[in-house]
Amino acid sequence: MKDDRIDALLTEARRSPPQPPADLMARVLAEGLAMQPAMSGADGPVARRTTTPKAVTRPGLGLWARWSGGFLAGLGGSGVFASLGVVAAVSLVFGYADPTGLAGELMSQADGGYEIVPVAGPFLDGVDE
Amino acid sequence: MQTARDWGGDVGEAGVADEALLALYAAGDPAAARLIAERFLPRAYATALRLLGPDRAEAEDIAQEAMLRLWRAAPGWRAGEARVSTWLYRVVANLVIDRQRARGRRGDAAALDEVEEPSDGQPGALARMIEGERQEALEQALAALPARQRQAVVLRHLEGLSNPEVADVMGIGIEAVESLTARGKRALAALLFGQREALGYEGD
Repeated sequence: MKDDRIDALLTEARRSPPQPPADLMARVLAEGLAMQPAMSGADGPVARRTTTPKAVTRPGLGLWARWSGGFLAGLGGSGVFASLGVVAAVSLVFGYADPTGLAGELMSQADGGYEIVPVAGPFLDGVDE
Repeated sequence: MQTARDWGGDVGEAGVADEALLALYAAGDPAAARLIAERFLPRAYATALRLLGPDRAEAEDIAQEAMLRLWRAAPGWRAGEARVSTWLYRVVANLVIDRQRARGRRGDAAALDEVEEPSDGQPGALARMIEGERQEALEQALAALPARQRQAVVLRHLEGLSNPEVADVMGIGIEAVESLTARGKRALAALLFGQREALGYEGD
């Protein structure tokens, strides 16, 4: 078949492209609106995303990022490690400092051992009066 | 706020440049989402359909996925880095390739001899029917081309991109685009040769 026939066919096809169905347009627009950042105020746009985006792995981290991410998620997230860090630091302080004073306030020695003195006792006594 | 022209890029029918539309969308302008969908979804859908063949459901999936990626990319879009339309065509082309690879399909369109011959009718109706048959035959012939030739012909001749733009989308040189489109058109002519009488091309 002649080249000009092919060109004419292609030109005609270009003039009348297939149109997306209305329901596809509606779905795409709904997604776009759901993912659109809210109107920007003084502090810039505020996300109003209602759908969960696919997880994005930062380039260069590869398997380690996925493994560590899963590990952290399994333990309850990276916040758990922050809390553990605080506890460890406080423990170190108590271990380094002389804990005698603390023990004197909260515990009393009896029969060669320590027993716990209810700290709330005096307050509860006051309520009773 | 900057005007649409300040952002550069393609200016659509609404008079707002593509990049400006993305910036308006990112700023929360509710009208921008509709304009973006109306401007880009038809291109994404038509390209996906023409690259995939007659599977409209698959073309819808790919067009929707491509638009989803555009919504995601819009807030971080950097002006001047890439043309929005080129970026979208590349996404669609890659999604089509992925889909075809996943299904192990290679341009398995329906046979050209399945195109029905036009029936008798009024001259105007007959002309429209013949035109419809021609377009259907063209779609099937396109689907029968090797993937790269089909991609080059669709982008160059049906989507109207320039050779450098097609080269950018396909990640190849301009000479390679010219070669692919030329071979693609020759292949189309060969594929449609057997249908020339049914399609009203007598004497070719």
